[in-house]
Amino acid sequence: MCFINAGYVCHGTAVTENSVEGLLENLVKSAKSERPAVIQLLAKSGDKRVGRIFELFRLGSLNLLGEEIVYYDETEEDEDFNEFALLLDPINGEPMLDGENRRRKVLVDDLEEVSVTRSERILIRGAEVLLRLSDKDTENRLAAVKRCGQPPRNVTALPFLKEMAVSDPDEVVRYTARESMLLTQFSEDGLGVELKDKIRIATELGRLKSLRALAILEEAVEGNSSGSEELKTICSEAIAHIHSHQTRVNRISYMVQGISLGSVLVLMALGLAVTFGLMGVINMAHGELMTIGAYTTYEMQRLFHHTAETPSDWYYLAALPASFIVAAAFGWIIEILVVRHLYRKPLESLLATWGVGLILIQLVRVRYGDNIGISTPDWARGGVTVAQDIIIPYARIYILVLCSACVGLVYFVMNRTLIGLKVRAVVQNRDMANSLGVNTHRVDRYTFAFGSGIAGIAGYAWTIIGGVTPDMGQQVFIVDSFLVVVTGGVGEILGVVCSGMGIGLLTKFVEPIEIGSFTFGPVWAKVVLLIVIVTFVQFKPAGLFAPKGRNSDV
Amino acid sequence: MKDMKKMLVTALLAMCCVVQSQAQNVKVGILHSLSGTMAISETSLRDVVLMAVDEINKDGGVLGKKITPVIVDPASNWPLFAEKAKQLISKDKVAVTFGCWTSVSRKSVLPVFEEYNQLLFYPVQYEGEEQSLNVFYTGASPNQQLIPAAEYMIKEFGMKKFYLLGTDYVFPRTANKVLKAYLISEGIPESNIVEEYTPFHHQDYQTIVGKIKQFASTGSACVMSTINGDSNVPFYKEFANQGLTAEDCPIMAFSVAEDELRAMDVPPLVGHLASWNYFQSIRSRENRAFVKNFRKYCAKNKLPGGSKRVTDDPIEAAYFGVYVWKAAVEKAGTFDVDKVRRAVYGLEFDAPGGKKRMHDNNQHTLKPVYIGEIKKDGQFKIVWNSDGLVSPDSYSRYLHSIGSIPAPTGGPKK
Repeated sequence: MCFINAGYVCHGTAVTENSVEGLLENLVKSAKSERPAVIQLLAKSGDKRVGRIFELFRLGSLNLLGEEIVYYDETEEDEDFNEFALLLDPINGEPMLDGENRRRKVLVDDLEEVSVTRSERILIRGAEVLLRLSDKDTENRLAAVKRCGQPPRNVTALPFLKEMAVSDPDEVVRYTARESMLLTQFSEDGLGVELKDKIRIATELGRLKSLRALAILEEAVEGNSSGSEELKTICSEAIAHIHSHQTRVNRISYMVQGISLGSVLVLMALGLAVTFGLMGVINMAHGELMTIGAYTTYEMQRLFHHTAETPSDWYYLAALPASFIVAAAFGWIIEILVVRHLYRKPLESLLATWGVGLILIQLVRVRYGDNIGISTPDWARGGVTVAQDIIIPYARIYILVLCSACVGLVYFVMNRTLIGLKVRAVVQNRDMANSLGVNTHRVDRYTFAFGSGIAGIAGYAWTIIGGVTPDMGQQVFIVDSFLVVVTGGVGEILGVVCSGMGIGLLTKFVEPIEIGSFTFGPVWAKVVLLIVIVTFVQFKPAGLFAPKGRNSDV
Repeated sequence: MKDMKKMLVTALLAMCCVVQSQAQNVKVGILHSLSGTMAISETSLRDVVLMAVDEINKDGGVLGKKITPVIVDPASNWPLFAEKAKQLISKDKVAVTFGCWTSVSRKSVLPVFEEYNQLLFYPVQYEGEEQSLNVFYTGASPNQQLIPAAEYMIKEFGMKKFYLLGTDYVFPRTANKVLKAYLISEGIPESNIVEEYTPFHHQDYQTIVGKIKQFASTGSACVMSTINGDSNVPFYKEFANQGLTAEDCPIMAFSVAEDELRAMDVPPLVGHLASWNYFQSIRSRENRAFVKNFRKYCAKNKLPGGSKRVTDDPIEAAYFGVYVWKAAVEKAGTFDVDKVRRAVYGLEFDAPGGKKRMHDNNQHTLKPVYIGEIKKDGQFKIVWNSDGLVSPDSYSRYLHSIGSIPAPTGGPKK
């Protein structure tokens, strides 16, 4: 081992019994009965490298190659699909090199896995939490302090938590450490916490608005063990306090979720609002145009060689114009081949575009198969904490911004540009516009391509929150899009925005409603939504914003 | 003269064909959706069955006869499954059929196979509560997948709260019934178990993830997921985006395998778990060879994905199903359905994932159980495996008391 790792580990220092190297050897090679003792020694060694060793050991990632202890992250293949492991050193996590400074690789089959028992894993998990309390990475520390407050709680962590609650550089970690400390003190009976302290802790947990404390506080109120009436009243007060916080969090969350769902719906329906709303073409291939946008994003990902491991996040920005252009081009072709022959025949156009949709689905399936994965760019992972217990994912913020931009774009094009003026003229009175010198055919083509391009953008945006399959257009998009446009009122951008947001909010406020033990959930929320919409359309068949005046019968 | 010659040749050729197909060929049916929603999963099974057939043919066939596969496409359309099954049996006269994925498609073809007393090898894990003498189930029954996973959660992490989340159809509903009965028998209070369903293709998991977040805030909570197909992607993404990690609340999945992971953005899934009877990462020479052969086969036949294709539990089960049938036919010395069926019982065989055995007196397979943790390369790190093979329950012992288990259906006509 020393020979191979010369320069990394063993610069002259002897491998002693209690060095990390020695302990690792012991851990792997000693009898099972001695392992717990070795784990304790490692945990107490205070060495920074123990964290990695623990994780590797717990996951069963350590391997024996003869007498050597190694692990690997990646493998390589030769033409015959033989798998070679690129060896790493468990002590320092660095690649192992051979005599000529090349990475050492061996056939995976030649490695012997080091097996771990459940009790060892549980022991290590406990030790890992303590180690991670002093981790440099804030996220790791946060996870560790959080873990300390959850059963089974570790009393030995208390002094660390106490210190971190005051001195940790990160505010969230400080808060969580304090919370975990209080939770442990309150719930662990062995600590001998006095009644008046318990009362103080309960008050403070209430003040911290700790959602995690709800269960143990409720237990204290309902359980008849300690029996102090004062403690029970204080606990009840704290619970009430936390509950009101929870209700507020829920309301705001529903609102945020509703707006977020609404923005997705608006974005989906916007393209349709142009092609169906303005031009009156019942375009059943609308969903497939979104699919095309999504697959264009996939192509861009391939072009930029973006993968989860080697991110090249620019692909996602480049995919925005690309998906618009490709989907618009498809729209253009569909208009020329199919739609323009059917402008005054709504039923025929419905059938024909449905057929076009089916053809597109199969084309996508033949080209890509059924399984592709689009990897989210790194900046769209995770979310921003806007208030205690409320997180808004970056991906959703991005979609909201994109949606607003698209609405703005469509509004601008339709109302502030010459082509928009022509479109509106054609929509109002095709023959009159024609006789005034507007090339209605060309206007139709532009409008259809524009609407298709917007659909492409919707498909593109979808890829950071949802999955991509060839038939996603029919399964996910088309029904919702039509729902939004019909409810909003044909031909009105503002109508689409209002109905999209309305449907989003309604869904999100109905889903969590509980009546007794029955929860509405997504299935019944959809039922309620459809009932509401059907009833609404009964009374306002032209939607929220009905066209008025002479145009109203279009 | 020329015409005569042509006719003669044609006649000869035709005769040859007839003779050959009668003497040397046996037909088997492949009944998997190649289009529609289920194509995403089922095409891989067709591929691997064809590969097994190829291997067997190269090796001399079954009882000296080459296998001719007859492929039909029921297009994810459940009634069409029954129609296509009928066509395979009565028109093509296949000796056996390999097929189906969803339970509803199996339920649709069941009466057909029972009416004609033919055999179906069904390769997917399912909800149990069924036992037909005309089906051999090479996938897992609930106690070979669900119960070990729940047990793992309790013993390994000391979980006390379970969120049972699934797509709204027969497998998740029955699976959750079994899980719930098991959890209650393990002393988990009913108030700590939440059951929730979403429709097929559901995409907006904001509300549910919000609920899980509050559910898990007290710790010791996990999700048992039977979410199916394309809904998994938005679910895991939302879960990660809301700041939940596998450490806060691990998700144990019963419908996410290597093949599904190909279509997913893997980072949000890393660290979460799945329970199966086979993983591609099982380390053995046999498995390595199987994976290699499958990828070579896909590359050679220019199938989508080519050499990047992966194997998973249903793929293994579909593959060894063909070999079980072959072994049974050879043991029986005939293609006769009733004799082949008897030969299957108790049959021991080597599958890519290791030795397995068919049950002595029910239609299922004894299999090992593995629990895997998802790694960032879309493969599983096996973190737990059962001690040897787990015997299958066709009807769950948590739903039926002993003695009240229904008799098998189908079989030879009396």
